[in-house]
Amino acid sequence: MTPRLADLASCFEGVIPSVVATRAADGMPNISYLSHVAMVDDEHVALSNQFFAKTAANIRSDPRASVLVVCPRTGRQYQLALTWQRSAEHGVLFDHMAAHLRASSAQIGMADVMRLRATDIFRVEAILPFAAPSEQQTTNAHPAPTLNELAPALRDLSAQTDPAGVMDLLLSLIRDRFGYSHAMVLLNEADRAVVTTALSIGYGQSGVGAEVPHGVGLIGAAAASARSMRINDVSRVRRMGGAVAATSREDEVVSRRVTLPGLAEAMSQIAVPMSVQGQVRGVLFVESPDRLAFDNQAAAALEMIAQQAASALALNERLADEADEPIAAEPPPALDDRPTVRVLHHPFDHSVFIDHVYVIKGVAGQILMHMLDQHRQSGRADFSNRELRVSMGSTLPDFKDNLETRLLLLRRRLDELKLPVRLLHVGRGRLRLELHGEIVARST
Amino acid sequence: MITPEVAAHLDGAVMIIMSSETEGDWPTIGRGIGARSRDPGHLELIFSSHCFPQITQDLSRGCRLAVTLSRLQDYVTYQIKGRATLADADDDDVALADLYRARIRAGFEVIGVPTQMVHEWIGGTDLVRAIVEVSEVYHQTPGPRAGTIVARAS
Repeated sequence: MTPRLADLASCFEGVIPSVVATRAADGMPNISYLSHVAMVDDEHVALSNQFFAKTAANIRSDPRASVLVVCPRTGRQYQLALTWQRSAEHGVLFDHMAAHLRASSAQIGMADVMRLRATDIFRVEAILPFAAPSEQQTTNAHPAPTLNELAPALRDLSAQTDPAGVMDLLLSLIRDRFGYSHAMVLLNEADRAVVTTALSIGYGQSGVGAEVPHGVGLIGAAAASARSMRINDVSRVRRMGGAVAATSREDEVVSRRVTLPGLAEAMSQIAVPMSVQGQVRGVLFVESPDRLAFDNQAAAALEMIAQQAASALALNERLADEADEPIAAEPPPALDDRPTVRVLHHPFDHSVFIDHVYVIKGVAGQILMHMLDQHRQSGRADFSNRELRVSMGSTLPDFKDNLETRLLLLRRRLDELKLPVRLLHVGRGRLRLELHGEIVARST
Repeated sequence: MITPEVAAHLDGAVMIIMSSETEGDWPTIGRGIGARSRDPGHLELIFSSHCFPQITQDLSRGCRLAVTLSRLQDYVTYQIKGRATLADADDDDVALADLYRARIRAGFEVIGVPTQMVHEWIGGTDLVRAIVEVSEVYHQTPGPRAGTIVARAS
C-alpha cells in the first residue's frame, strides 16, 4: 500500500539526513544532503536552504525534485516526487525551521554557518517505492503514554496545592509514566531573559539555580520561541559548554553561576515550554541515552503534561496571594548556640553569598536580602506572598509573576547547600525565615 | 580531475548517493556501496541494480551521473559529475563492496545505529559497476564553500 505523507511523520524528525536530487535545464543531475525537511500539511513539504545554490537554481528551471527521507526507527527509505511551489524567507514555517536549525547548530558551534536562507515549499506528487533489502523492524524503547494513562496524570497535577508539589509530581511522572530518567524544570525570569533550574531528577548534581540565557541551546531556544525543540540523535553534538563537568562550590563562588547538569551520554533531548496565556513560565527539559527517544507522540504527550503543570503553577501563584492571613509576630527561633552567619550582597547583580558560598542572584537574591533586612529591623521571621509583593513592588517593577516559584527556587537552593539560613513553607502563600546563627550582613 | 585529496576521500567511511540523468518524470536517487578511482579521469562506483533499476536503465544508455560522497566522521563532502557507462561487477567489485559495507557498519556502530538499519542503506543484490568519466568535482561540505569547484575536465 502506498503510504501517505502523514505515515512518514517520523522521517521528518531530522535524525537521518535526507537527500535532494534536482536537474539543471540541460538535464545534468545534482544531488546533495539536506539538513531539514518539514511536513507542512498532508500534501506539502518544506526544505531548508542554507547553502544549496545549485539546487535552488535548478528548481527554478525544472521544478521537479526528488527527496529521499529515512525512517529513524527502521532505516526504511521513501522517495518523494515533488514539485516546487515557492520560496519563503519569513513567516511561521520559516521562523520555526530557522529556530530549530539555530538551536541544533548552536549545539555544534555552527550557528553562524548554518543560518537559514529560505524555505522552499514543494507539493508532494507521489511517494515512490524504494527497494528495501530487508523487512526488519525495530521497537520504540519509549512508547508514549496512552490517553488513558495521561488522563490521571493530568488530573493529579491539577490537584496539587503548592508549586513544589506540582514540580515534584511533574518530574515523577516523567520518570514513572514516560520512562525517562533525566529531566529538569527551569523557571523563566523574563526580566533577566534567563531560565533557572528549579528541580531536576537523575543527575549527580541537582543544578538548582543554574541559568540558561534565552536563545542559547535547546533550552534557551524553547524559552525564547515558546516552541518545543528536540534533537533525536546528538551523538555528534557537543553538549553545552561545561554542562557535564562536575563543578565545585569554589567554582560557583568565582563564576557566580551554577553549572547546568547534563547527561554525558545523552542521545536525545527535548525542551518543552511551559506556557500560560501565551507567556512562557518555564521549560521542561528531558534527555535520554537512547536514540529517537522523543517521537511525535512522545513530544505531544510531554507538551500536554508540561502545559498542565504550567497552568497548575499559575493557579497556585494566584491562590498563594489570595490566601494571605495576618502574620503572627513570632520571635525568631530560640537557638542555644548562635554562631555568626556572614551574608554578602552584591547589589549590581543581587548575588548573595552566605558564609562565602554562592547562593543565588537576581530577583531571588533581592527577596532573600529583603527578608533578612526585615528580620534585622523588627525580628520578624514570618512573611506572606502578598506582603512581599506589596513591600517589594516599588523596587522591582517586573516583580509580578512567578513570586511563588521564585521563593521555591530560593528555598530549594538554601536547602541543597545546607546553609544556616533556610526558608520553610508554612502554608499557602506563607513562609518562615529560619536562622541558625546571628546574621552579619554586608553590601558591597 | 580526481585530486589526491578526493581519491583519499573515496577510501574512507563515506556515504554515497547518486542521481542519474533520466528520461523518467522525476530525478532519481540511489545509494552506492563502494567507490574507487583507478586514474584521475575516472570514478568507479558499485551499486545494487536490484535496488535501483531506473538508474541501471539510465546508465545502460550512457547517461550523466552525479555522485555525492559524504564522510561519516566530519561531513566532508564532494560531488563528482560526468558521463557514465555500466559494467557487470567482477570479483574485485564484490570485494570492494564487502569492504565498504564493513567500514560503514563500523562507522555507524560507533554512534549507536543498529546494523539492521544500516543494512537498509547499503544492502542489496545484483551488483553492477558505473564508470564515470569525470567532468566536474565540487566541494559540498556544509558551509560557505559548498558548491565551489574543485576540478573540471579541460
